[in-house]
Amino acid sequence: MKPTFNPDSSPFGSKDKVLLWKFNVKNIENLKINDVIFLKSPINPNQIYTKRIKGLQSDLIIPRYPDTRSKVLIPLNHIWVEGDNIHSIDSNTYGPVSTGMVIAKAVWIIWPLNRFGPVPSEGGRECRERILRYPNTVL
Amino acid sequence: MGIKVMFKDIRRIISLSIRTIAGLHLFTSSMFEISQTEGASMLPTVQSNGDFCIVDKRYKNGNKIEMGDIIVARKPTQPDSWVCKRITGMPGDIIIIDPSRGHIEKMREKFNNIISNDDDCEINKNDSIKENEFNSRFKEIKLNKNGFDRSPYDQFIVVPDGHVWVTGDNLSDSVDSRTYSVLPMGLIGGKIIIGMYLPNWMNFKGEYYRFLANTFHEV
Repeated sequence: MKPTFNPDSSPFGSKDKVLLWKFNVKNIENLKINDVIFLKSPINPNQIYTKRIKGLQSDLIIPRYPDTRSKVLIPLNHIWVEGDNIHSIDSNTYGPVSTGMVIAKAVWIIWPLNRFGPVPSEGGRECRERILRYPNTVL
Repeated sequence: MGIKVMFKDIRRIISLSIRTIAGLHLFTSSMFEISQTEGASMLPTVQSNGDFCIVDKRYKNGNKIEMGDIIVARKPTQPDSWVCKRITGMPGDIIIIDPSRGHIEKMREKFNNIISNDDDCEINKNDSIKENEFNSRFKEIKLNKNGFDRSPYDQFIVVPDGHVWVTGDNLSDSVDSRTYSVLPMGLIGGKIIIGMYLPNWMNFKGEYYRFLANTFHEV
């Protein structure tokens, strides 16, 4: 999530502090596209990842490296998450994630005061097939 | 004076109750919790109704979980409901998705045996009729250039890192990894260690509690 959180990469720079919304976030109804969420890592359950939601249930996703021209259909109550940074380990590696893994939603940047404000609602790439194919359609 | 004392009491009561609730919450979220089971998916081990289980929350997130443990976990396709299953595959294991669906070669063998034991059967005399008969009985098995298309049968999966394979003990009535594939360890809520069957408690007979042991042993 480099351009959104912790933009300066110096080792002495302070880490960002964000306000989290924890109520009812395991329900898919409360998760929207482009929400920044904290989720348990599917690879190591004691780690926590920060990712941006890029697809919800029943979306058809074009992964970042479609080596076999494959598309991914997100199952029921699953989401597709990607980092804003191109080098992030995200759903392109471990696939769709169940909403039960979501811990919290990041809503407000608190600490570096020059960036105090709501978490940017844009970042990363668009990967939903229907949006990429019909970009001008209002849905 | 009286009002001051009353306020002091109220403050003490509120403070005590908040501390008690917080302590209880800490206990049930990281130590032990009693939960009631529902459904027939673990039937021989855990009753389908009125069976109260003690969940050891120290095994949350799949910490130190082992093959054969009984766990409670959020259902991946429906995270607000909890399921109780037995672990039958750990990361790195190669799993046959559904053993109950059978094995193509074995099915073919069985079919051939039935046909050849039946002397009156006309199919027995002609190989091509035999082939046609087999294909019409098992329409879902199709041949492609790599041999059998094993799509409903003989499918294997490697359990990825941080995931487990879970199945119910009652395979015929259980929605488990055969349906929703591997379960991420982050959804595991704890391990069930003791089961208490409520009717036994009410009637003061039978065993009041039983340890749900790990029945797995390597062959």
